[in-house]
Amino acid sequence: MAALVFPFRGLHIGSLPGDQPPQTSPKLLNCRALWRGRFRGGQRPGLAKWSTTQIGGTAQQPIVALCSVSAVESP
Amino acid sequence: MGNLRESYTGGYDNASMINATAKRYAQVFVATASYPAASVALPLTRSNNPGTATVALFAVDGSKKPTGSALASGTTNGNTLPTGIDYEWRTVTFSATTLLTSGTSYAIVLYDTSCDSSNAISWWYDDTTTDATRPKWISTDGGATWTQQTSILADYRVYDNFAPPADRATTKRLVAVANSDVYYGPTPTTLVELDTSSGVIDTAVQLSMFEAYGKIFFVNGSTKKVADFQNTKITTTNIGTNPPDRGNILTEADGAQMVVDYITNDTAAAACTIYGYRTTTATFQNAHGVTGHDDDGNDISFTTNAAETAPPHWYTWTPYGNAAESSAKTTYGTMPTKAYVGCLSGGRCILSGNPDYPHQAPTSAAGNPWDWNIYRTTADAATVIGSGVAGQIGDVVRAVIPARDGLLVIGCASSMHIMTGNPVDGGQMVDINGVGIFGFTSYCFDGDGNLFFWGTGGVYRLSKGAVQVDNVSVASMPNLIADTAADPATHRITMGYDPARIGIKICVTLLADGTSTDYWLDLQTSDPSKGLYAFFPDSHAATHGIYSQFQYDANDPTHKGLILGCADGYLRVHDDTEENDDGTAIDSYVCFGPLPLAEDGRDGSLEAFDVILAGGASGGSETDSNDVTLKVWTEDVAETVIEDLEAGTSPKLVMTFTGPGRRHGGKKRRGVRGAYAGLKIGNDTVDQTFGFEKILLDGGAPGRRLR
Repeated sequence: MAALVFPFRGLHIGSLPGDQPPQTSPKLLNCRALWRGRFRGGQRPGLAKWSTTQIGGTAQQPIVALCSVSAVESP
Repeated sequence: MGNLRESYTGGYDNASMINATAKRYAQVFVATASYPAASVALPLTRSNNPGTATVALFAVDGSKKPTGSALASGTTNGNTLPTGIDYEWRTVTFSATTLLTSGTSYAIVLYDTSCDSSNAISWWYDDTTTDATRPKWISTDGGATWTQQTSILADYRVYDNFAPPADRATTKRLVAVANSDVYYGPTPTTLVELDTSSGVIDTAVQLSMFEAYGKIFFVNGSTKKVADFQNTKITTTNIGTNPPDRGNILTEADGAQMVVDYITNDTAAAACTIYGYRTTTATFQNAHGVTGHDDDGNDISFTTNAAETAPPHWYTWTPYGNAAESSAKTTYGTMPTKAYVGCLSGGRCILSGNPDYPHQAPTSAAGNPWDWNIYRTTADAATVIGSGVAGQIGDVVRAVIPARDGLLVIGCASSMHIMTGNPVDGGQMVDINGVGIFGFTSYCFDGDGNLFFWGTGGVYRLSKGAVQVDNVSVASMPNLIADTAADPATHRITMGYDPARIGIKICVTLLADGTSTDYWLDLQTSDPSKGLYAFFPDSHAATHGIYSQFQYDANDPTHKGLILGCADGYLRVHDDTEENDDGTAIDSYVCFGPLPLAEDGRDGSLEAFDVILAGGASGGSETDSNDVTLKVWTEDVAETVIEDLEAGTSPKLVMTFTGPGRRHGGKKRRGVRGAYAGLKIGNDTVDQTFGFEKILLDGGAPGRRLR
């Protein structure tokens, strides 16, 4: 009996077809080595809204820049 | 008030009335820990004017009756309690704390030596609860004797006097830009739009922004703006004979003071807006005189024409006191007429991208974003990197990257340059030829300070300290550049480090519509010492296409994380508990192979399959995997298996395995033969996810090829 585990080294398409490096995959999508807090492999975490506020209003325009600012407020 | 230590809150069905000076009520409680009791709160009402009431804490005897002298006591003005049935939780602080012992019973006693039959205080209780450990008592002889009131539990709260230190915290806000609007806020629910009506930015033009000195500086071609989150703003129609210099202290007649940071006009007697950090609780008022002394000791004197305005503010970024950017004024120099990239490095604002001077990166003076005078001779003076002072760049600047240890990395179209030290005083430029950077957002730092960037030949890693540059993608994805076909004119590449998952998200996004080719570089499963880097391709719907990324280190840890700025104007994050992409199913799969089924290309067989899915068993503490589909291909040639896996069509076997864990009888006995096998396991169902421990394969003996 052979056992296949998740390809923790990720995608590898730089080798001979019959010589796939260990722990790599010739094709995978939307997967992560860490699934729900353990290294075993599985689907990546989904996307969730960080905020329900739509930047730029309802025009559905791309958010082109992000940054943060720290300030000391006056007494 | 300290921490709440004991309480009973419920019922409020009726009230015990203190309407005689010798009348007392007592409620017993058991200390759940040892702590200094400092105050008690009781639900009280009054009738007329009962005067001063006393709340005291007593020890209890073996029958749990109050005994001895009060351990602690305090008073409250009963005349200020509410009347009727709407009780007030009145807090009474003891004159001195008393140390309670864990597990010991104590009695809260209420009495009033100035009440009478028509001026009374009432203590509300629950008349449906009995607790043998917490009896309630009444005394009509000033506490000499006590009678238990059964089936009653009075409401109470007991507090300690713990006074935690209040550390001073700065306010941190996320700033996001879309549709030429600027939004800001510390948390997801507090994002609001900044009023930029005084001069808008244009998100159709390349825009870069960076934090410095409590502000965000925007560079957007010929538009340069400041969002000021720290300074207070005051205005005057006449700044007087001596406009203030930066750093001067202005004082208003009523005591308000500010340290001047920026003024819009340094012409004597002109109208002027002054931005400065107010250091007092007193505020600047309308039509009040303001005085101070400038750097030369001259008197500053003007009158405000409006009350102060609190931050944030939005104004044009110019040299100090030169809102019109008049070339006639040279005291604080001239800013580049256009800029498309910017950063803060070594206390200097670094700008670049001016089409007229594409090989240069002008800087402000160190510590002063308003001083661009390059003719000063001090070490903190403004300068122009690439003009010869500290070496030439000679290539078109695409990105200015502030690195650790005082390094400034200047990313160009075909080369990289590293500025070390003060560019005005002994700084040096080190060139990395042959490797350029894709764009102004195509880089990030990992948690150790190593710089990763998308460059000429793939993804590169510039080690902390700029010692070594490695192409980290070429071994596993040698055709990455050709496969992604990213063009700086049509694509944006963003990179963001996710400290929670210890990896880098790389997004190659088509500017026109948000379609993207994305990768996750997993730094936990990479092995830099062997040159092995683990890339995991991702896909997103075009509406989730990522145009910006930022690692937001919010004050509130629940809001920290790698924030993704998406095509539809929403900020998103990867959420470990989320099984969809904001409602859209995730097509996720892993392929294995080509797996040789026998030696030397001979045929072999696979005869049984089993998948151990994550979760152990239904219930339990581990998250359960949903079902997975396993597809199997076999071929005579390894490369044909690759083609099968790429196409994903016409598998020889399709099986569904049910989670979680390994099901009894779950092994599927299905046979396939061939020289090489390929397997694909995955799930593309909405509201589902999968994780697996391993795939178990039973193989047969090599044998004659079946036709």
